[in-house]
Amino acid sequence: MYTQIYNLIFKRNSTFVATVFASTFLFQVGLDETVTSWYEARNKGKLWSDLKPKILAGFESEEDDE
Amino acid sequence: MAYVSGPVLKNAATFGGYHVKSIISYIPVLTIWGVAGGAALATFTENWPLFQKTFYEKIPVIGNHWIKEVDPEAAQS
Repeated sequence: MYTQIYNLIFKRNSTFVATVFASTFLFQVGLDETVTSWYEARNKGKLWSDLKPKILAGFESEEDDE
Repeated sequence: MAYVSGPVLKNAATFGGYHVKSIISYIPVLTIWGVAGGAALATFTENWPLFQKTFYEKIPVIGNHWIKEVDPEAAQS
């Protein structure tokens, strides 16, 4: 297992650098997705996507009152 | 019995001053370096809209990450 990882990644500098940059690219995506989903879960109910239907419904009921 | 006066020497084939055989032996590692360079380029252009629209949105599975649909009413002016 460790020998396979060593031979595949660490043995040559080219494969090591390629692994570093490829995993960095994927990590950027993963971190952004994780933080965004955490932020949206923590602020659920306060976000525009959650408020928009309520606000639009409010405007419609005000129009009905008049 | 024919005598040979000396060793028969031949120059190895060259291309651009380098031996062809040594160029061929470098192809695998140079290919991996090309992949590494491409990955580095992708890493540093990840946030560049032109690259996002041209390449990254078309990556399967993770391509949706770069497709951002902002509600026009929520967009800051």
